[in-house]
Amino acid sequence: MIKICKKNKQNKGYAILDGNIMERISREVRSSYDINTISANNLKLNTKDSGGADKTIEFLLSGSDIRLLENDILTGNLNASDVTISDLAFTQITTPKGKAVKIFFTVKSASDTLNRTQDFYNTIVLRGNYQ
Amino acid sequence: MVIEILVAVSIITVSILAAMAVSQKSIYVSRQALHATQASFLLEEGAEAVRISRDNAWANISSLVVDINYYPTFSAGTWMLLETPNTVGIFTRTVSITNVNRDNITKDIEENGADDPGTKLVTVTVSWPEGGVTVTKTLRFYVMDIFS
Repeated sequence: MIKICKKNKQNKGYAILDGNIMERISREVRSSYDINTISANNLKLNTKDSGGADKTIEFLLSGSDIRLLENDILTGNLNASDVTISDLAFTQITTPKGKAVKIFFTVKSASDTLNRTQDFYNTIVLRGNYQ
Repeated sequence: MVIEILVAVSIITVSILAAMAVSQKSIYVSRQALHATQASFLLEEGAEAVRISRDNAWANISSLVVDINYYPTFSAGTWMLLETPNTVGIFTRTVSITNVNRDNITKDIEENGADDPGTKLVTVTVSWPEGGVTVTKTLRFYVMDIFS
């Protein structure tokens, strides 16, 4: 019984927390019109704010956290404090008609004593970039 | 006295077994939720892989054989749809294409009508094993030759 409860606690939160991280990155990539800079652990996007003014959105791996910066100002971490990011990779894809970003990250829950990791993958085409 | 003890032991045993069953089910459901979340992003990525193939050249889509499973594969810096099977961890992802007909007069998509070579119906499927059964999620959408 105790073992089952422990296992339940270990599984808790992965889907919600890490789905939110990928959802946020995907949404920002989709709505942006260009890639400002990109490296394995860092993605800076050119996008527009709600008023139509230019702004940048940046995701970067700092230690075991994914940080979100808007106009180079730190907004906060995308992952919860009990979730660590052990790997983050951005890859640019260029087509004759636009650009896309391939996203991959690995997460681990601090409460998981078995140290299991979960991988999340997505690729998003920049909708503001179509020519 | 013996009967009372037997009844009490039975109630306690049933309660413990019920609590264990509920906990076991909740582990299964939470693991299923995690896999469903991962699968939904893989489905989205499959759809984007088709779009990227279309953006590279419509021939990448029009040359696909209908109703055959293709596997999105990241190679040489872009997504391709290949016949060589691949998996992403426990997930198997396939893409299949079917032709689309349009009504000759209204040009609406209809079952009967003339084949529209500039439109294809895409089905992305992600499946994975879950508790002894295979779970499958499907995403269907039309892709069109908008750049030629």
